Amino acid sequence: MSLYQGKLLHLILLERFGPIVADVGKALFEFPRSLFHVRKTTGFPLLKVKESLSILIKFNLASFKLNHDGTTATYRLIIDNILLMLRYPKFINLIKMKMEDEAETLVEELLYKGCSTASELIIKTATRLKENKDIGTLLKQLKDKFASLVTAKYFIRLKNANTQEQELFAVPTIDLKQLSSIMNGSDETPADESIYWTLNPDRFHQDLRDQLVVNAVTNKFDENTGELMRIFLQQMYIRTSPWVPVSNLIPVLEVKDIVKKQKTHPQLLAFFDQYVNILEQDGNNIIQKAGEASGGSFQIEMKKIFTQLTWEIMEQLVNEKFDTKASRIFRLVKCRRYIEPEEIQHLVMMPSKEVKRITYQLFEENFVLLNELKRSITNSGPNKSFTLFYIQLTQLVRTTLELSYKTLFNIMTRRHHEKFLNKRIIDKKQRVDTISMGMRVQGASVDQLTDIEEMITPPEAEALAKIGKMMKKLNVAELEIDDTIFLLQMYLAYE
Amino acid sequence: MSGRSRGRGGRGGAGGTSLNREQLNSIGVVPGENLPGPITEPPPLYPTLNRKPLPLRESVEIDYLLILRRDFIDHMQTSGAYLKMPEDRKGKPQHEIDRLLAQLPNVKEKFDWQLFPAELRPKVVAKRMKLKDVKSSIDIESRLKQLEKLEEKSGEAMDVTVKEEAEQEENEEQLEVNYEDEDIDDGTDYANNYFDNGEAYEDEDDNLDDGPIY
Repeated sequence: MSLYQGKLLHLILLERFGPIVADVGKALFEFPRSLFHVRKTTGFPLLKVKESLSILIKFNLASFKLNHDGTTATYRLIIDNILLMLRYPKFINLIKMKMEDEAETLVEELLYKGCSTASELIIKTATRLKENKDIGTLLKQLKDKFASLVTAKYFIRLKNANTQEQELFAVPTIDLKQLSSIMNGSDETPADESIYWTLNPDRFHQDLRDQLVVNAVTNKFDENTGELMRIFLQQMYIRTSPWVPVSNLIPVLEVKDIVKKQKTHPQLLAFFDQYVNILEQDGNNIIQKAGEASGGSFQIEMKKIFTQLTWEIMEQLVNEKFDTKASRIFRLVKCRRYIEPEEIQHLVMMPSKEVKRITYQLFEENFVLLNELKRSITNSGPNKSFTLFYIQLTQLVRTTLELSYKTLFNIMTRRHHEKFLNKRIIDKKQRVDTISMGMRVQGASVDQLTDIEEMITPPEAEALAKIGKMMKKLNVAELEIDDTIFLLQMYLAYE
Repeated sequence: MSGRSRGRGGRGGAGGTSLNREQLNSIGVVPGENLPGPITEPPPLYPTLNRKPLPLRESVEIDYLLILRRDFIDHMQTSGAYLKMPEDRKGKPQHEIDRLLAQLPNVKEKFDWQLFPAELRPKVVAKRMKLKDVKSSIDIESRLKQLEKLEEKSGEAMDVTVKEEAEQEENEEQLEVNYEDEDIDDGTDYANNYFDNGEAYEDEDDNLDDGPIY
């Protein structure tokens, strides 16, 4: 809940749902409101406000609480889910890597809809994929994929008042014959009419988290160690629930058996013990030996891993913001926990004036904090008080999150601005494209087509290329900042 | 300024630079050193960057993510979930893109109204659902009657306690009525003493010990 977060949410909604929904979202961000209150604040016609509230609820971006009379309600924005929309491409990509293309399209269609019944979703996907494929087999394939997505808990049933816990991941009955007849235009109501499904972000986050850890290990050591880590994580789920800070014991022999069976990493198998040793003895507490029996068993300390990664990010941040010398001071404060200013000056081996300047800079931007310990009235001896610098990670993480929201907001504002400035030229390109498309359909000759394409002059083409490049850069930055936000949120989740 | 920070723990709030002289001394700011004076102008809107940010990563994966992202946004913008402002009849859309978008059929998003609060339903749907409700409510009433009969048999003991509570409440209500009567019985306003000698002025304990005034 902050100023920039609110502005950011407004922009995210604006891009995806248009100005009306965005303004309604903004009104709800301030505090939960009733329908008429929203209407009054935004000043839109009642019909539009109703529609946008329905859209927000359908996409699971707002929740409502019925009042006592059972018809009116108070609406509340679900902030996390709106920020999640920035992560959708990563969700889709994840499914693409883990499962087949059909599953990817299913996920994509569900995201387009917000929530949907299984039959509706499968029909939608089938109409998209039906080119040169037999509809019967395609439907069967999609049904299986849907079932596996539900069993793997990527999809979750939309909760209503009387949904039981065990129903959340129960595969619904899907009648294939009915589906194909609906696709051929008959007007039946499918068997699972009022059972709605939506995305389960927790499950996706779990996978993204594992990916992050494996990537971190791979970057630090090598491919083989990364693979070892992946198998460790995979084995962790047999005995441990996914979100506990410290896993239960994982016997190392089990991991070795899997490596043996896999046969993909011969080097890992040959030097298995050494690799395990490297992973264990690394200072970052990635895995920890917890028992000697049966060749040893290990624990994975997720919480420690994420604390470590977060520290790493903070050091990087200081490094990029204030340069090496500052990151040296930052690390010193980190490893001493509490340190006096004079001691910093002695230990970092830099001119004291510079040390002072950098420490004040860090202090000003809240990267280090100051704690003053005062002795209460002493009658004898010199009255000495201590002034200590320290770092509070959780607070720093929240500051950084805020900074990330602000950056995202800036990037998006910039993008909108560029689009607005260059609307004329983008517009022209669009027109030329539509014309040439139309001519191609009519079967025009190559010469005619090139004539049309030449309507865009070289300088214009150059400008377009420039805009495209800038847009790409801004979009990539958006994706990357979301990565950072994800890591920081993971840290806060474990905290 | 010094008064605030002397109390506890030096730096109390978010206020960036409210350190007193003592604290400044202790972190090494010597009085003789010429400190920069107060800044009277706002910071520049676009401060110059001291360092150039690192170039962004480039990979096939990121390209694919970008495509996914664009697809998603394009789809949302043409779908029924993208609400447009009510149209201006006078001004024609100036740009080609706007004109193309305006040609698109206005799809309405489909909703299952069972899942939404009743007040959001469009009127047509609301009427239809009300009709259904009336039909089903008959069933509910008969069911309720059945339940009542069951309760009468098993829950007579419960009834007694409920009655007692109800009686208590009635008594309390009567008491309140009595209090109100007192004020009225006093007759005119002149009987009350409204003189304030000022002793109770800014007295924090005022009214707290006496309990509520009736």
